[in-house]
Amino acid sequence: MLKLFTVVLICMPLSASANEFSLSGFADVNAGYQFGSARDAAAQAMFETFGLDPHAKSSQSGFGLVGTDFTLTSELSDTVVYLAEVNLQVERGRSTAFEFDVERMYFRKTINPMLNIQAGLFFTPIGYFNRNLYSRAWMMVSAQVPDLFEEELGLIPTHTVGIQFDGGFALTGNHRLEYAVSAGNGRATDPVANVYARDDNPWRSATAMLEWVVPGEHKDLRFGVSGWHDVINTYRVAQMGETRSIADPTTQAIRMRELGGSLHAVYRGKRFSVLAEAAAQRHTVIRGMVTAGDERTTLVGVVAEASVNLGDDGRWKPYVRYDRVSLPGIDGGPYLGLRLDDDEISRFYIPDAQMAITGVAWDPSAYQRLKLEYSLALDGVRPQHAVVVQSAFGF
Amino acid sequence: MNRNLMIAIAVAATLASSSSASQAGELVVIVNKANPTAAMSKGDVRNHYLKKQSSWSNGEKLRPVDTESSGQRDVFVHKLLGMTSNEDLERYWLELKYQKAESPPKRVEGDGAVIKFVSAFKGGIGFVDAASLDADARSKVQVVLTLKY
Repeated sequence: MLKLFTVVLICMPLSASANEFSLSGFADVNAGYQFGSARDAAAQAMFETFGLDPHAKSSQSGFGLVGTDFTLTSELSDTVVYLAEVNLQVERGRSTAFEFDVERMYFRKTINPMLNIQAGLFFTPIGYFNRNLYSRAWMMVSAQVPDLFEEELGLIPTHTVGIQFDGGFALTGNHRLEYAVSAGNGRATDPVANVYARDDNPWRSATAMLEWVVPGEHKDLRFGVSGWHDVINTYRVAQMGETRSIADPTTQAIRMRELGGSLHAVYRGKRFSVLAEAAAQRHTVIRGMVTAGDERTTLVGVVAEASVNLGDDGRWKPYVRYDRVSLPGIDGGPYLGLRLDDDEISRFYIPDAQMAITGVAWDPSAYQRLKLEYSLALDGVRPQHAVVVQSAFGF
Repeated sequence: MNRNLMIAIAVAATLASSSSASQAGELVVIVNKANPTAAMSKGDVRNHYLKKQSSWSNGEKLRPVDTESSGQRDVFVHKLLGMTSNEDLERYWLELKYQKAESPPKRVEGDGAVIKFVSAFKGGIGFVDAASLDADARSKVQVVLTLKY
């Protein structure tokens, strides 16, 4: 927390300087209640024994401060902007501690509508949700971050440290073709870590996204396709619950190839909005021995949400959402359950998830969104029923 | 009888149309005189004013300018930008700041200030009442779209 205040205090005097500087942010407060047993009793037993956290991600119990996000932007020149986004959030797996997290930190150079360059830490250009909504409750219609894009699970690469080129080409009838390609340090030894510096893995990740934008009277319709590739250097931890020292010469290094693809269709209109994304990701072990069945594993995830805009200026938004994540094998495969703590690497159980969600969002102002949401767990380890009230702010 | 009724309807229609004509406004979208863009469609205005594309085609920084609340602004926001409300636009700008590190437009007061802003910046784009464009203003800015309302 001290670090954050230091950052803010250092930056405050800049607001009076000539360059364009602004500080904005968002936050949300939740209150939730969950009941009923988990749909998958066997998974629940495994989760209680080998799970990373006593609670599944996005589970709701009591009051919760998800966090506050501060976004600083500074226009260094007509064509260069700097963005730094930091987050004060509940510490991973904890209920009584906060942590300071860096979400994005990059310089962006605008050259022309067809080419822009940014370098630093940014959201990996995959699909729509990860690039545009991420965990921004204030911008999301529904309350919970889908497991597929949950940074704390790291199922797909949500952040990249590297360089990105993006832009758009005008087509006939105001249609546009937008693209983003990035190259970065890629995945670390465990899936939730970012390699901010000193990347010892010479393999660079590559991501490409292509999106066709159909102009509308109100907002746009978008169809997109994304693909990503990485080579991951990590360690073999054969069994769930096992911990090994990476300094131990008997701990076996493994190398795997990550290949992913996703499709998305998004419409945000005056009367209704639809967001649909599907992703598949394959890990193939290319060096080292792993447990039989772990040589090639596949993750599949889907998120689909529809909402209608009712009332004065569409302030009321009843919605439905469906989430599904199917992890490889019975335990998430040889990589997705790994967590590195200093020089000890452990393998945890990451469960499948399947949820049906309905709720209503209400915008009392441009800067606030209130939500009442009910979710039914169709699979996985969450309690079967959950109700959450969320107040989300942007400022 | 029928003929008298038809005459009455015609007179009423004429009066109504002349009345609405006198109340109609003409909003124009203006850009800097040095901007090579000669004309824009509604979609072009949306793409540029809302910074849906990162710059003008020649790489010039997009500099939209906004005004304080007015009936004319409401027409621009609803009919040209396609927003459901002024709050919808507020939310759009805040979202864009998070997503692309883009700043919302400068907000100035009155058509004179809009013309001054657009004439000062090569990448400027704004909207004013057509009647406020005198000869001096027309030497500094150019009209790329006209909207009657």
